[in-house]
Parts: sequence; C-alpha cells; structure tokens
Amino acid sequence: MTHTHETVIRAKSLNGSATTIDRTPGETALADWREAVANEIAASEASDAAPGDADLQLAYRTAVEQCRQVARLAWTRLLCPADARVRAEIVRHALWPAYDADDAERRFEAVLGGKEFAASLALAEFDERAVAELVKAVLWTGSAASAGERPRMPELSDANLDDIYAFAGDVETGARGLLYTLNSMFHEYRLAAHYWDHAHGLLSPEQLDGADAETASRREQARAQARRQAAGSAPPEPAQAARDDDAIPVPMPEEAPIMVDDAKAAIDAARVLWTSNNLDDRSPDRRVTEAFWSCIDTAERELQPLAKERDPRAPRPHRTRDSRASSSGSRSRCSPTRCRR
Amino acid sequence: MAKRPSDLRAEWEALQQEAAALAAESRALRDLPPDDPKVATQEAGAAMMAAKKELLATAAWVGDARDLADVLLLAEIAWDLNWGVGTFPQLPADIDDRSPDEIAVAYLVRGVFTASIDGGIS
Repeated sequence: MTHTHETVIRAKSLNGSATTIDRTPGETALADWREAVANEIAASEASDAAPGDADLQLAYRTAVEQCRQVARLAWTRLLCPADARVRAEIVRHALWPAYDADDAERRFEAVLGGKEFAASLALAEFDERAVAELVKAVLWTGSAASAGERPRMPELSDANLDDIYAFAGDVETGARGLLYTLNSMFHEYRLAAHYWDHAHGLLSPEQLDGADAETASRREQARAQARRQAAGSAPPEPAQAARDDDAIPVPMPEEAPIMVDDAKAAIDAARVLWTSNNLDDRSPDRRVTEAFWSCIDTAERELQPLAKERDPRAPRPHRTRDSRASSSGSRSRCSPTRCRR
Repeated sequence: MAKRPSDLRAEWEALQQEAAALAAESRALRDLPPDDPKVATQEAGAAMMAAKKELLATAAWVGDARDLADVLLLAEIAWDLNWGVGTFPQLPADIDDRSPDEIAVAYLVRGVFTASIDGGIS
C-alpha cells in the first residue's frame, strides 16, 4: 500500500493568502469532491431563490458538471483503501443528493434502518439498502475517518429486527411455496396411481385399447414409467411383489427429494442465521421472537409428513389389485389447508 | 454479539455457487413448457435462493464492519443485488452509458475490490 504525499497550495480568493497542506492524493480528491459538492449546493440554493435567472441556472449547471468531472477523476485512480472513501461520498451524493441537508440525511439514515426513522424503512428497496450499508461501512472503516467522525454504531434496532424477521418470513414463505408444489406433485402422483389401479385392475390392456387416445396415452406413460422404475434402481419390494406379477411400483416424482431438501435447507438457514446472531437474547420485543419461531415450527410441521413420505427407508407405495381399495382411501391426505399458498 | 460481515463469507460463497448452479439449470430448462414440474421446481428454488441471499445480507448489515474484509463482503452483496450473479467485479462494457447512480455504485464496488486486493485480502 502506497501513501504518496503531495503538497497542495490553495489560493484563498477572499484575502489573497495561500495555505500549504500536506495531503495524500486521496485526501486531495476528497477535499476537491467536498468543495465541488458545496459549490453545487450553493448554486442550487441560489438558483432556487431566483427562478428564471439564466445566469444562476448556468452557474448551477456548471457546478453540477464540475461535480461530475471530479467524480470521473476519482474513478480513474485508487491508490489506497482510504481513497475508497471519496467514491463512497460520491455514491452518497448521487443516491441521496445534498446529504448534509436535513431531509437527505434523514433519508440516508432511514435507509440504513436507524431506529428513529424505522417507519421509513419500508420505502427503501433492498438494493438501495445494500448500497447504503456499503457506503456506511466504507465511511466508517476508512482510515481517513477519525474517531471523532465515526458515528456511533447503532444498537440492534427494532427496524433491524423487523428486517431480519421479514426476510426470515420470506424464507418461510419460500418453504411454503416448495411445500405447495410438493403437495401438488404428490396429488398428481396419487391420481396417476389411482388411475393405474383402476386401469390395471378393472380393465385388461385389450379392453383399454378402445379407449380414447388421451386415456391410452396416459395409461401407456404410467405403465412405461412404472416398468422403468421396476427395472432400474428400485429397492427390493415386499414379498408380495414377487407373488403378484401385477405388482409394479408407482414411482414418486423425481423432483420430490430435491424440493424436500431445499425446503429443509431454507428452514435451517433461517434458524442458523437467527441463532448465530443471538436474536433471541437481543430482540427488544419478545413477540417478534415468538412469531419467528412460530413460522419456523409451522413450516417444519408441514414439511415433516412429506419428508417422511419420500424417505427411502419408508415402505414404497405399491399398487396391486388387492391394494386398490386402500389406495383410493389415502388420497384425501392432500387437504386444502395443506395445499394453501 | 453479532457476527462481523466477513464471518458470513463461507455461507455467502456457498450461496453464490448454489445460485450459479440454479442459473445453469434455468438455462437448461428454458425450452420446457411453464407447467412442467421441473420448471416449477426451478422457479421455487430461485425464489428460495433470493430469500436466502436477502436473509444473509440482513445478517451482514446487523454485524459490525471493522475492516476491509468486512467491507468487501458488503460490496459483493451490493453488487449482487444491483448487478446480478457472476459478474463481480467486472464492470459492464457499457458502464459509461449507464445512469450516474449506477456508474457511481459500480465504481465504488470496484474500488473496494481493488483496495482489498492491494490490502492483501484474499
């Protein structure tokens, strides 16, 4: 890391004196930027105070262009980590203009989720929040920031907690989406199994040949899929299968295991992030904590029967003539409440 | 005590790999009809990925950023949320034609990356 010092001489236009300051290039760029911003703000205020004044409007446009030139210069060089501070200030000015004015400062703080402005947090887009957090981190950790400049790190605020809770809720909602899709798939699977039972148990293949094309196609697909499963990696089935030539296992949807795993991983991620931040202890509002765990518990409770259903150690569903009656009785497991989204 | 952002580095990189795999899967499935179960699975997985990233980002923001390693992770998160997966820290070819906001953010993130390399962060 190189810190090249240069001597900067700045003329004071009011009294004609000059000052000599030792600065790093980064410090020089920062000073230039702040001066350009101050000029822009002054020109903006002057122009606002005298609407229609062409000279003031021109002065404002010139000041804006000067800001852009200083910014472009800052983007062409980066000599040390502290110089990133200039870029952070440029971003802060670009996204939250005139940040030293009360409203803009409040807006920046609101985006960061400061407790006082928590109500405004919902206005911040997630990508905007990400940039604000980055700007804050650069400004606070840069070596150019003296201890006196560094704002107090906020305690975990209600807004922070609400944010974490909201996105944990998103994970839970995502898990629900997966569960919904899983349920739909299992529902289809059970319908197919049901159809297969009836087709195979009540009608011979010859009788089905006269059925409409769609029915015949579905039947053929179900049989072909069942044959593939039976001939492939399906584990040995109960002894009944060997005794009954009609016993062909109906395969689970192949996506089911992936989705069950995804849902479990999402729930685990939410739990790990919550506990790793000790949010049970840090939450100022017990109700938020209880609501979070309630969401997690609900998602897990709904996932459990599906995970059990696809467990390879569990008995694989098996369709035979003899099991027809019992299989049709199990279809009601996909209840409307479990299929909600 | 809250984690520092850089403590989440391993989780973040795992998520990035998972996201890249999802993106590849999405490309492979683009010719399938929308009601195909594989497409539904992929879309559910993508929504879940977005939620997981946002949850990790929120955890990083709660943490106390103390050094460039922390700042670098925050920069990657900002980049990911603004520019998408797999592009960090490559600036788009048409960067100078973008809006001033976009240009400023892109150069800030790129600057943090450059500083972290110079500062010895691997």
